[in-house]
Amino acid sequence: MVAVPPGDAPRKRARAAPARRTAAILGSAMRAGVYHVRVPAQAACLHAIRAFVGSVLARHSGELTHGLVLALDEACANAIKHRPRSRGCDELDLRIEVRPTVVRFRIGCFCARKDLQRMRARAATGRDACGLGVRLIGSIMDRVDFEPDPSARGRLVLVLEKRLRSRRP
Amino acid sequence: MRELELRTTSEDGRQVLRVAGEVDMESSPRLLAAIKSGLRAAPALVVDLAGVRYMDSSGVAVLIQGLRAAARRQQPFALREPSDQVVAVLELAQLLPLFGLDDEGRPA
Repeated sequence: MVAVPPGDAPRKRARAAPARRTAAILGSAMRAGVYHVRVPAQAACLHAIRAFVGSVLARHSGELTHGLVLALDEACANAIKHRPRSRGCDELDLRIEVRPTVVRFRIGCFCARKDLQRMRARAATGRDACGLGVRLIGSIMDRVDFEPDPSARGRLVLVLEKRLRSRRP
Repeated sequence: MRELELRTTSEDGRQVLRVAGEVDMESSPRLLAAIKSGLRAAPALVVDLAGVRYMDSSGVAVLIQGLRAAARRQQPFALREPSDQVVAVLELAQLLPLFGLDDEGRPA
């Protein structure tokens, strides 16, 4: 897994020493509360995503961490299943924003716009793991929405939001 | 423990499948295969989930498939000591009441 600060770091350099670089970047990225992570769109990488996001959220959202990790994991699993098989979608592109009052996940290259209706109809049945995952996401998060992917026409970004109770200083 | 670990034992004529680690999109097919195998091997199956650190919807779907397969075969199927993580996801999915819980084997 490669974690990069938003708008920074050529990917090749980040890949050269992923573990050390990830650790180094985490510190600086945490100060801003925004994380940008790219991982191969493979089921084998879900564990690494959970571990990364869990460690980030544990510092901010306390008891909500398990639910938020579950919601993101379900979303990533669905992205792996539904992602467009076109060029540029061989990686999950995750943006994690942790603010005092909200946690926001953005999953790029989630699906093709033309596939959205079919996916929603399938999820509505709740009969398979995909539909169940969508139900879990909906029960955990306050906002589940799709937005046009600014980097690719015809593709959608999945946006998940959870409001946090603002903490006193 | 990250990797999914599956161990089966016999207990009073029942098959007990002990599951530990993480059940997700990648590992859940192995759990399904073990449940189906357990149902074939004994007249009743208990799935011990005390060691499960993480379970997602694919794991829940596998448990439902196991429950349905057992019902088709008219075999008892129960969960034992689901971990807090398993209970949390089953409660979120509002599916916890669907499963029978086996109290035997619970530490005193």
